[in-house]
Amino acid sequence: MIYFFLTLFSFNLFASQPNHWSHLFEVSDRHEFYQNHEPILKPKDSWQTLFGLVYIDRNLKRIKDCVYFRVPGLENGVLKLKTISADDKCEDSLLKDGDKELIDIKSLQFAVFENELKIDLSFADFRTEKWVAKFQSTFTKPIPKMGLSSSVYKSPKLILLAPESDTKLVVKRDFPSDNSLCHDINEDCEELKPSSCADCASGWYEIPNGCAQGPKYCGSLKCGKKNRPACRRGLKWQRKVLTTDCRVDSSFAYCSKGFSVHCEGKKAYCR
Amino acid sequence: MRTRPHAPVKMKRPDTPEKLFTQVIEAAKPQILKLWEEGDRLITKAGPNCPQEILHDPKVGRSYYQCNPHVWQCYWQSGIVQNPTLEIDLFGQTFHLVAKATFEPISAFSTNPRTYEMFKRSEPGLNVQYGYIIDVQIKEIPGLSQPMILTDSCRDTYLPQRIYAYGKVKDKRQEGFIWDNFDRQIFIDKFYVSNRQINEWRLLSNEPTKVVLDRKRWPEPAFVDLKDQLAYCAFYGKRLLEAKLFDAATMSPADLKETMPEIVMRPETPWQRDLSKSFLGMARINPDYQLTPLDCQLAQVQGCNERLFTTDSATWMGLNYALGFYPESFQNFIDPKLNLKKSSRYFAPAANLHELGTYAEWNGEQDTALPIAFRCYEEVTP
Repeated sequence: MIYFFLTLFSFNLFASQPNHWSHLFEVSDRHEFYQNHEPILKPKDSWQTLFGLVYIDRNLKRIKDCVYFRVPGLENGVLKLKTISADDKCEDSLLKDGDKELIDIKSLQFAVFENELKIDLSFADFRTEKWVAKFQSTFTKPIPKMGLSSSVYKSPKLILLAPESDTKLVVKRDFPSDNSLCHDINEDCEELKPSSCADCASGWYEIPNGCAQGPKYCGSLKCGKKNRPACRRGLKWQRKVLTTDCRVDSSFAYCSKGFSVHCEGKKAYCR
Repeated sequence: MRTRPHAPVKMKRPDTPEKLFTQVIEAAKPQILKLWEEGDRLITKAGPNCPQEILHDPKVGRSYYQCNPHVWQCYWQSGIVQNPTLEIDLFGQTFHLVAKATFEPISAFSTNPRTYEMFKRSEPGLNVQYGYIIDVQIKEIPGLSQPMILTDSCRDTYLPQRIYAYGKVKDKRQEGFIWDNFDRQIFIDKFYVSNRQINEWRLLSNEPTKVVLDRKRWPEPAFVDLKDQLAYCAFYGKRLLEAKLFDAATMSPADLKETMPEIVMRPETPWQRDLSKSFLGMARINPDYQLTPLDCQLAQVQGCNERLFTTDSATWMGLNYALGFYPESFQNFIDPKLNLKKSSRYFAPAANLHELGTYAEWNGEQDTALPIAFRCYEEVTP
């Protein structure tokens, strides 16, 4: 009996799925080979990363529960959970001690769907369990229209948080520094990297280059004055197809009264 | 033969309290949002009874009570209804949801524990710059609670993508400065930034001594120097409104469907293209013109009673206070010196400055003789 409690304590065993699995954001780090509903049988006696489940905790931190499985072989299988920052990789914690473990598993299979993730477990004592992790309804940006607010355009109106918060996860991410590039657009108007400007602490500014989207940087910088970027004026008010050469046609930008647009490559500045 | 009617699909009641709790919370979401976004519907003419949160004033319009954390606090403190609860009927049972008062008191407001906690995100990742954390529980399912974020979904409104005009032209045949916002997602505050909002900024910036304590002034526009106006907007990832955006939001397009018109009109008022046909035009030619209540709803000029958070002056895209009301500050990158809309309740209806596209200069410092309001806008990246 004493041994049983000691075991329970040292492994932090758990019997049912965590409560916060009812409002997850996404699945990450998914195993590249295991298919939906496929019993996990190989490679025997090895630890495998099944997936990570991303959610936001009470302290507004994006974290994830990494779900690992030691495939049954000579010994029964073990399901291991470890909570880490959402930015880290589950694979890096594969061999570390789990926060919670479920032992004596005979077989396991899982399936990921749009709104939920199911895990079927059967144990050495012939018990079975079905776990269902739910994703908060997938958020797709609405098509902007009259009356829409920025908050509704950017995120769900109501965001559920995990009731607990893990104080061990003190990893704090810094905001990108002011004037760092957050939307990389090259001179041919190609997007080299999707915009991360939503991560800027205090907004962002753009240097117009005659493209539908110009390169953007974190922070605030007033446009239009001497030696500053020109201000964006748009590409359609001219009601004609613009040449892509700033020196030939810089009507996509403007400067404050007293200054004029000068082109540096395709980017427009004021002099 | 008659087909057998379909039996309604009944959801099975979950077998564990945790799963039941999840289902009830999911079902409660619309009611929580309704209380947050439409809290004004619950306010009677007598007003709420929680003087530490809201001092009822008939001159304050209902929009003030929408997405307002003081209303949320007041409701759960029994200041609006006697037994605050949200009822959710599910699985043949009525569940009662309540907000927990588990957050630290805000001493500038009251000594009561709060039913919400305001936050500004302290690291990237979350696509919500700021908002309010609440924590709810279900009376019938003890031992479980659910924290969640309420977002400021009542604040601003979208500026449709089209070609716009800025300012005025000497000759109406001139095109003047025109521009477009295609491929841009721009959202403009519907109202001036209020003292209630400025107080939240002060508290989040750890400047509690600068909080406006007079509750009567909370719905009033915040009159702060230009430096603070810029800092306030940037704090929330927004920018101080630009004059050309204000013109875009107030000059009604001739045809909403034609987003690239050959001629971009510059109406002189938001509600009438030609000012001479409006009450402002009549006041210019008739020194004895008597203002009507409707005039004051459209543009609060000298002689009108003060009213706050009214929506009768809403422009074509939903912005309030285009002409009259309070002087308003802007950024202007075309004519940097023209950074003030002077048209306001401080000037008689016959004054020439009550006209769209008309700007003056402001030195950025407040003057009690002519207090300057402001609002922000946000451009969201793709």
